[in-house]
Amino acid sequence: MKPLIVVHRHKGFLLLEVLVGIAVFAIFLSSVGLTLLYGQEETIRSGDRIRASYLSERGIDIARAVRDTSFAGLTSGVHGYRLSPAGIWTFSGSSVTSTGTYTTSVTVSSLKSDWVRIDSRTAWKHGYNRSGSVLVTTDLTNWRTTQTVGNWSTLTTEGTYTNAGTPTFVDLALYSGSYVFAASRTLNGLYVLDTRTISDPILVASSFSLGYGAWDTAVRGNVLYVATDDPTQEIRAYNIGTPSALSAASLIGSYNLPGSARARSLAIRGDTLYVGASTSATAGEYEFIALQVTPAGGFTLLGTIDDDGTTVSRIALSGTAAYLASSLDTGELRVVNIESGSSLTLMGGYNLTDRTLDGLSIAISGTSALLGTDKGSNIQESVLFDLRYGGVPTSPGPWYHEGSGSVIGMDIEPSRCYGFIAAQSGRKALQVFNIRNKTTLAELTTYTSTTGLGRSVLYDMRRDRVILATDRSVIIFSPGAVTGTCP
Amino acid sequence: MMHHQSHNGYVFLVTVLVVGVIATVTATSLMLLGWAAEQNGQLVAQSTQAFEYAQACVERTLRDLRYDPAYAGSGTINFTYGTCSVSRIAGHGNDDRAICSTGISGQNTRRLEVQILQLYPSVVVQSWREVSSFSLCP
Repeated sequence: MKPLIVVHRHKGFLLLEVLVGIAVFAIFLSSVGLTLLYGQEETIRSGDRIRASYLSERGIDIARAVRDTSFAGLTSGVHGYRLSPAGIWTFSGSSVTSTGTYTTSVTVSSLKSDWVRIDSRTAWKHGYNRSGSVLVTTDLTNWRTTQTVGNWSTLTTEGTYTNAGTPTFVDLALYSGSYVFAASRTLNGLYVLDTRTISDPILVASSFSLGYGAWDTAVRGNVLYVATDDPTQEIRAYNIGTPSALSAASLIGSYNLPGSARARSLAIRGDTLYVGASTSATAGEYEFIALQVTPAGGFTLLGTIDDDGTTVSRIALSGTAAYLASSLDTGELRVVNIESGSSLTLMGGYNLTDRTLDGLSIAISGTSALLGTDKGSNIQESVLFDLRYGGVPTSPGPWYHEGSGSVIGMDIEPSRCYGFIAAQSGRKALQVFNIRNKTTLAELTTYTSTTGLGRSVLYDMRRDRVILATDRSVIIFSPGAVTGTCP
Repeated sequence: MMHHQSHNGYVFLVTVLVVGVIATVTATSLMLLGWAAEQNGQLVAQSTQAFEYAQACVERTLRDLRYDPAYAGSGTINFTYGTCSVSRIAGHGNDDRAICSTGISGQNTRRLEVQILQLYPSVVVQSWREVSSFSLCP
């Protein structure tokens, strides 16, 4: 007998299940559809933004190209751009529309005469909800100009500060483009001149006094380092952020060299201050010292060189070497490897075999180094070295130029046409000579001082001026008209 | 006697649920991908801006250095959508200077390291490159 199968059918129940299934499926489908739509829109929006970013950056690049052609081309306003038939990017119209209706406009706003802000904005609108904009901002400055150099065959006195006493100025440093710090051996020890009006240098912070004589100065940011005669504070650091307010309270740090009042010269690179000292045979009294410095006036000893017999009158830095004007009779020019401040090594020296006189001054520009020595008979006190191979100079050179006195200050104009000498003499206290023609090193012009001996000289690169310090005066010279050639 | 009940509707419902779950997971993934793409767009825009902020700091530092070769750098400049900052400038005087600039916009940081052979009479740049970390500045 077959089993009896009873099938219970609930009429209408299957239909209900299907309807529920379809409803659920419809909900899934619509949510999936909406989600897909959202994801796709986000992806497209992202594409819009990325493309607009590149177009905005392109606007900045074109503004930069305009600047590279001529800074004057960056006129204030809203610009489009185009490529000229000559293949040069220029501003044109007030916007430019790229394929896909992305519109880019470059807005130039002048912040200073040599400084503009560039806002490159790319906007788009595709349909109802696909719109937006991307703004990219940068600053451009006129640093690509070439500084013209006047004809220094002619010297014109443009401004003079003369002290009532005889401070015996020995070094000059420039701060913030127009404040001159003049170190002196006597009286106040340090003088500050406001030379914003070149024809009228004004003594500021006139009541300030170091209390000791000074030898050399170096400026790093808002900090002035002074090598002084102070037996316990040979190196002093002053905050000179407001030069006219320089006072004893501006002292932010000091360093006591072993020995007494031995500091003679300073040079700074990055946050390492190099100090040259008078010679000492005493153990621990080094002749060349590297100090780590901080903007707050901190000093940390890094490294030392013991070079007995050497008084380091001046220091100049080039590459990984420090070049020292030295009193050593067998090495008027000493060279120290300063690649690591904490591991200084003496590389050797150059012996000027025609003299046993002290090296007193040194200046380096590019691969040219000028060394000045004490006055002697039958010698030429200015010596030009070629540093193209770095380290201790070898051939070619050196070349010689008559100093007409002990050469205690030197500088080089950066195009390396002109060399400047401050000689310890009244006649020819300042000498200008051509250092490009090494075989002649021809004297171009001189200045005879009526305010004492020549003591120090500084070439002001930005203003194309020469500043001379004599016993009593700081004198600013201007050159003749630009000729475009090296005489 | 056997009792047998018909469950065809349940099979359909379960199938719909399974397919629905798979579809939802797929859709969610796509939505997240879309969101990620959108974030990517923001990232590109901010990264571009950070780079140009870093460029701005280099430009301003070059200007300051030309004005005062003793300028030591260090400082932060605020912009609408971020900042740029310059580390202490390496070197001293006219030759062998180095500028290290950081631009920040949103979560994006771009760094530029510029090595300068000389400032005057005209600036000679030896290298101008983006780096992941600075090696030339103190």
